[in-house]
Amino acid sequence: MSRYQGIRFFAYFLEILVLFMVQETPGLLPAVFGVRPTLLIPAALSIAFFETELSGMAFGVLCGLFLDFGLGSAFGFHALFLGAMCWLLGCLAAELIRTNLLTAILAGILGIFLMLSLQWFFCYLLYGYEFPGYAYVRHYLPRMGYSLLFMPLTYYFNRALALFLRERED
Amino acid sequence: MNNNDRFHTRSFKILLTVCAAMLCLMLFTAGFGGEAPSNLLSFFSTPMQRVGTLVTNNAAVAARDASASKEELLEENAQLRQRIAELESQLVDYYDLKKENAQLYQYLDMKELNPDFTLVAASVIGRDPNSFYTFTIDRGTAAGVSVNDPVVTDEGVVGWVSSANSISAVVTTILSPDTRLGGMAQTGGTDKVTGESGVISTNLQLSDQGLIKLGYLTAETQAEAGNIVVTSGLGGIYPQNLKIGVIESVGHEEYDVSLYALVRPFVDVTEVRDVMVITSFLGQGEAMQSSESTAGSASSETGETP
Repeated sequence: MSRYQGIRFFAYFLEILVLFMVQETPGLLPAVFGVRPTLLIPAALSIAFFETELSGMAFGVLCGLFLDFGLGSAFGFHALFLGAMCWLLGCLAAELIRTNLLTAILAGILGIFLMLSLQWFFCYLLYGYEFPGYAYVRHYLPRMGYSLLFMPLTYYFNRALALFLRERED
Repeated sequence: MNNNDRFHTRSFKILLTVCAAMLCLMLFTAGFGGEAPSNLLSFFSTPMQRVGTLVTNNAAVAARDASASKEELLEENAQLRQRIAELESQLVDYYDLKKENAQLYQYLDMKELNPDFTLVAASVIGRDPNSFYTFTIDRGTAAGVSVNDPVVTDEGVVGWVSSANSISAVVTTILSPDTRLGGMAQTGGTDKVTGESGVISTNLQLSDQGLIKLGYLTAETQAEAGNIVVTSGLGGIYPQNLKIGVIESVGHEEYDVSLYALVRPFVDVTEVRDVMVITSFLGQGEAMQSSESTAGSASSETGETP
């Protein structure tokens, strides 16, 4: 691992920590329709765009572990799915799709929708709570939309970070 | 690269290994609890969350002040300028001390009323957007907090500790669909107060309206709007006679003859910032132990979680 790669990875780690803090701190981000965004999903997806599939997967797993920690559920659920998603996105970004804002937003729509739908399915529906449809429409869908708003922000931040440090690396 | 080749690469094999490891971690933490990974992540995140919460709370107070009219602000500003000189000498960690003082006052009141309680004061440092009506507090097992401890304020019941690591703990509030506790409606007016037991629970639709349900009331119930609901203490998780809320309405269950009461909790758990954890009290866990020994669960007998 080169020095600049180490710095980049450390910067990603700090970014994830800060976003986790922002996501969790009560009152820092306003609730819209009673929901607050999940910032770590767009962050993980954005990082996956600018890293190799393995590095992307590692940061996806880290973000997932933080999500598991925040939710207070069994560790590994979000880490598993987010890690796999980031690996796939890393492969696609390397070989199949262009890296730009449009593809980032499309990946964000798919990734956030998939991750939060899986969360709803495994952590709400299968637990047997009442009114799963209500929960999905009233809580999960607005959270998807709200989280997606942060995709351009995390995309441009990670793009700037990757380009800035890569230039020095080269 | 050919798509089929992708599945034969080292990277794909690593992905499969990581997925298997995460599955094992999931099974392990579901079975034995996730204190070790939780401690590790908490080590990094809790200090930052503490600072973040402190900054946000102070900003919220500042924002509240900013919403006053211009004249009010000018007048207040003049008064404040006059007092700044006097206060500067005393203003050492004012906000921290004030907060601590308020916490200790509540602590003292509750301690005087319930000498058998062992209380730990804690602050809310996190509210996860992915979970329903839970929050994180800045005290964990190192401070004596353990899973199933009841969490209260001087206004009433807040919830219970659902998971804990050494420096923080997750509190599941009474608005969470996971919570079930024994409740008692105090009926009969001021002359002769009697208690009618039921089970407090809720669902997401009620929680979103800030309500909980006191279910399994008998068809002859005297409970009515305005009655106070307190903990029955039957499950051994919550002490007896802690205030929960006030009945707003009484209705018939859809599928049986019992009645239920909709209760508005005294504590707004979505806004609460400082709480107290009752780490021990007289009779704690008694019903749980006795039900374990008779091979029946506390929750099935009394309705209390877990």
